[in-house]
Amino acid sequence: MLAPKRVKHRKQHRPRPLKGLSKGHSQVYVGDYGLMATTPGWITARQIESARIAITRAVKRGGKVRITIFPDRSITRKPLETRMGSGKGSPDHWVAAVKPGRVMFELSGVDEDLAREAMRKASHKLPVKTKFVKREDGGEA
Amino acid sequence: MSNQVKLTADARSKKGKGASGRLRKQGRVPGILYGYQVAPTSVSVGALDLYHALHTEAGRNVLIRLEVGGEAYLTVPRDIQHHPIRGETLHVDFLAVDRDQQIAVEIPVHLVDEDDAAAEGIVNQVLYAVAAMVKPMEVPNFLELSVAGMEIGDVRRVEDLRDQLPAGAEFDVELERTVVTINAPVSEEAMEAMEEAAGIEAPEPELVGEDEDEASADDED
Repeated sequence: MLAPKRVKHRKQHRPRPLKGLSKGHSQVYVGDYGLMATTPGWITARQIESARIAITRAVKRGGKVRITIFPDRSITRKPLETRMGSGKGSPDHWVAAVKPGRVMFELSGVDEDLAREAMRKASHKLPVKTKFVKREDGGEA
Repeated sequence: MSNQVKLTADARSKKGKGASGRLRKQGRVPGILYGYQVAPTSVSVGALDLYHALHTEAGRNVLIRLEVGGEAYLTVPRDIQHHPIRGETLHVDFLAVDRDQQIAVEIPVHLVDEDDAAAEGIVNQVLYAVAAMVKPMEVPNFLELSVAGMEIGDVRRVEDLRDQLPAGAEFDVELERTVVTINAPVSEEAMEAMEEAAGIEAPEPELVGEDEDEASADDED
């Protein structure tokens, strides 16, 4: 699963509620088709991996899948049945903070119908609403 | 690309996000005109007219004859800003150009004969548009690259597109840059290994500066 290799601090402040729209990567840059988030959310490394597998299975080993988000925010949890206090919990998992407009997965080398189906299956694994997007001809490559 | 699209623009005096937002609500798109023999001028154009101008065969390299206050300028659109979700155009720059002077453009690359490429392989287009210096009236709508007869591992580069550029035009990118490759499909074993690896938790990340701290502590001892 995706996770940072080196970090400056083991624990981070909890990410604030996500406001606004995605600042970058709101177009398909390196593939033909993409899956864009239309609502904000924290996407865990497990969910990213699950969506990637769903896409790869749907395209049956063909095509090239690119993940354009990275889970770089650590989320901590306290053990079960623990009283409050005694400091911050230990790191539990990693999430990517995704704002509306962010293209999260890109796919190339397959036809549009198959890409739509693959992205539909991937979207079922994600905690955000999504839409299917295509590359604009002559866009930045 | 010698076809020109006519577009009428109004000069605008009020600037800023408030005035621009009001313009967008009226179905207009704020923009700016600058470049060859024109002082930077804030303008606005009709959203629908702009949409049709940007969706011709010439794509983003369309030549627009922009009429502002009785004057006409030969322009190309630049830095088109879109709403991240709705996709509507929020702002556009019009670069006034001299028809005899080369300009920097990004020309789309279209692959052809994809069915004739290696049956087992996956066509992987790496470069979707190439940067080039071309005179405005001579910019091709797109460049075509045939992938017929390519086998797994074969590569086609920018230099294979050179014969399609008009005389005098030059690529603004290394000629050795890869445009398309044919990749081998992922094997069943690799696929299984990938799925098994998916369930494995990533190791705890190491802390930046941990080694240096330990080293300095050792020095103190």
